[in-house]
Amino acid sequence: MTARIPLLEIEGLSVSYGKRQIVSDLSLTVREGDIFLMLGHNGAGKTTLLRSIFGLLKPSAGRVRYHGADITGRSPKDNVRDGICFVPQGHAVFKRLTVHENLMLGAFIVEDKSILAPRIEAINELFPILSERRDQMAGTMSGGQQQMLAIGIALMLAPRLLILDEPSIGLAPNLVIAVMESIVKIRQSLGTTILMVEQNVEKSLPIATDTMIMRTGRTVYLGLPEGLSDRATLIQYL
Amino acid sequence: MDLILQLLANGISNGSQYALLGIGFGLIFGTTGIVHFAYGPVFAASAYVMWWLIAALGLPFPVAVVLGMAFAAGFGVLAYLVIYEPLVERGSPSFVVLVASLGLFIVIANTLAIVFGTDAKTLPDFSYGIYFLGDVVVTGVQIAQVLVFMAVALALSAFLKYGTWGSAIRAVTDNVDMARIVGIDTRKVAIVVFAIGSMISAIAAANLLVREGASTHIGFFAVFYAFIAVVVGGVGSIRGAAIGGLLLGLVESTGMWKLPTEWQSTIAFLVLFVVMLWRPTGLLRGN
Repeated sequence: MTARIPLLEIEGLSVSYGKRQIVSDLSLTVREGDIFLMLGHNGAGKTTLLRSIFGLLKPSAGRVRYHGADITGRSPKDNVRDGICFVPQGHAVFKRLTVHENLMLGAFIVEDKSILAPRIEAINELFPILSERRDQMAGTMSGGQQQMLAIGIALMLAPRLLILDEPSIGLAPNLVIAVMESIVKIRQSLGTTILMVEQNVEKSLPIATDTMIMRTGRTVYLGLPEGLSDRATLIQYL
Repeated sequence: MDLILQLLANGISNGSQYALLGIGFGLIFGTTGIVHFAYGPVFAASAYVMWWLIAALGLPFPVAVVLGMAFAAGFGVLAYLVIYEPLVERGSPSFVVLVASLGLFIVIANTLAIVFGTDAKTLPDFSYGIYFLGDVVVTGVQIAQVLVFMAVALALSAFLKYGTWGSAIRAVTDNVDMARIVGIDTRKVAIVVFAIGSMISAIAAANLLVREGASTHIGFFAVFYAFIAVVVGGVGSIRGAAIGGLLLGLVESTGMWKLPTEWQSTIAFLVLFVVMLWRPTGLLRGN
């Protein structure tokens, strides 16, 4: 078995809002091909961590390395150009634009738009509802459909690293399963590495390759998901 | 009946001017969230600049309008870069930005009065025709106001729908956080909307320069009507700003049927009040 190459390395990262430290001295490594799952209660600092990795927040200390290069505090614009895409929490779509316009905006930075047709086709294959609703305003679709569109927008750049913030939040149980299945498919068919925050432990843990649990901004568990298969252990960390 | 038709014609013409001002102001407000009250004095300053280019330098009117638009674009962008952006970057609350825009309004308006004086500056020997549509009398300027508004509105709609920067503007207007996430340079978008919005104000200023001339108070009325048109139509909707402006012109004009002209501004506020009570997000579901 070949050693998997580190894609994203976080070293001693701290993030603060004013005087309040939300993430404290946190380190982790996401390797190529991982589905790296971050668990933790509300307020644990998971979203803050993702936003600071993507450049939406500036960390107060520590380093973020991507492919060995220091990208700490780099702008989202530059991160997107480098193959890092982010799907924020809560149906992150352009609500007053059509589904097709949303997808095209996902590839805003691509100058040669002629290369996008196969990508849209691949996304429609993954989420067939998006082709059916091509000309519908995104804000008029159901929560589940909007979440699929939000992931579709990120996939328009064929990202190397896809960061997902609670993709199953607010979805019906059958849709949660569909979203988790699509994440596995994205990893398999596109070779995309996934860094995902989730609250739904039951549905997300089985698809994860690596896991981390956060509590009040710190790591309390970092390791294989199998280490959390025992319910008692899981409850102890959460 | 003839009077009503005449008032409607006047209303459409004035409404076109308000709508034109509204789409420029609304483009800036809806995209950046900045209530750019200095839009009024930028409008006034471009009217004065165009007057100066024609009256003092003898440039042809179309050339003066193009230069006036370029001046307004530069002025608007400068206002964003020097005043608004530093405040927004520091995370200042929106009321601080609002107060800064009012401060800028006063500074520019007073500077214009010092530089150009307080008397109205009209264009020398500028003639326009008078036309009869049945019993309705309209001037060439009134017709031009409607045509100019339609041309600008169509061009702006096409740009927003089909242009690369147009789609970026729509994205930022809809969801600025998501716009950043897909890699749109939101700073550049803000600069582009300040430039385009200010250019539109200069086109409206050219209309007014031909109709009445430039004077110190025109900036206040321009931003007053633009603001009401945008809020009535729905912030973030260019179509809403256009409809809001046209509605304002029509209601104001037909109101003159029974009310003296001193009530003109009051009618505009009344329209705003009624629409806000009935539809707080504006006629076309704004932000």
